[in-house]
Amino acid sequence: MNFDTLNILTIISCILIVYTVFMMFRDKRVTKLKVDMTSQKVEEALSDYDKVVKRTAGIERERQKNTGQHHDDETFYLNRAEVIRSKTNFFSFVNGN
Amino acid sequence: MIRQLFMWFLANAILPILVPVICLCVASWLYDGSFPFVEDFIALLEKGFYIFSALALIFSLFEESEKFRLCANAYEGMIIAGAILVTCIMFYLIETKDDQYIKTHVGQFLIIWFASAFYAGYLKYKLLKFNKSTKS
Repeated sequence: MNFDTLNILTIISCILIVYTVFMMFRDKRVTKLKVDMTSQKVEEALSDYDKVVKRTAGIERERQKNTGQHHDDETFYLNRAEVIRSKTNFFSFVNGN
Repeated sequence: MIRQLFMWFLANAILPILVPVICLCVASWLYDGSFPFVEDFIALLEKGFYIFSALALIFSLFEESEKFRLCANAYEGMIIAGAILVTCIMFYLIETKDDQYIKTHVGQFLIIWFASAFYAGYLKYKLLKFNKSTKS
């Protein structure tokens, strides 16, 4: 079999196809990394207090559950807010009654 | 975006073959009343007209050359210039070599065509993604 120009071009084309497929996967990976970095930057922009609150949210919830302060049913908090609104003059404009 | 990519492919890969086929069909219809659409289509494909579809796909990227420069780096520009060169050499080979050579090496010609079209499609996808990200 003679090795001519066409064979060289075919080898170059095969390399190009492999390179393109590789770049497609690489782009996907880089996009995912960029998204992760953006969320990391959002995290870094928080204040120290916010960071502590965010990272200890799970522990705080556990503490509240153990001490009976936490309620899974959110209607408890809604009712409590309703009571506060009805009893506080400051929220009278929200009340609407 | 996939729809846009499909329409782009349809317009730039099929039309460079369809337009000369229709012109030939109209000419033969005026000449002797026949309309040999399929025969002309296959004859032009055997003549190597699929190279023009690959070239049209590559050259269509330069319609938005300003955005292309922003979203593609220097290596990709170099590779696309190389793809133009390779397809031109392929056309030269099809024109100069005899029919027997082309029939025995048709697979290699199709690989070269596919590589050019695939790479052009990849760059077009990047371009469309860049347009979408700058629009929002």
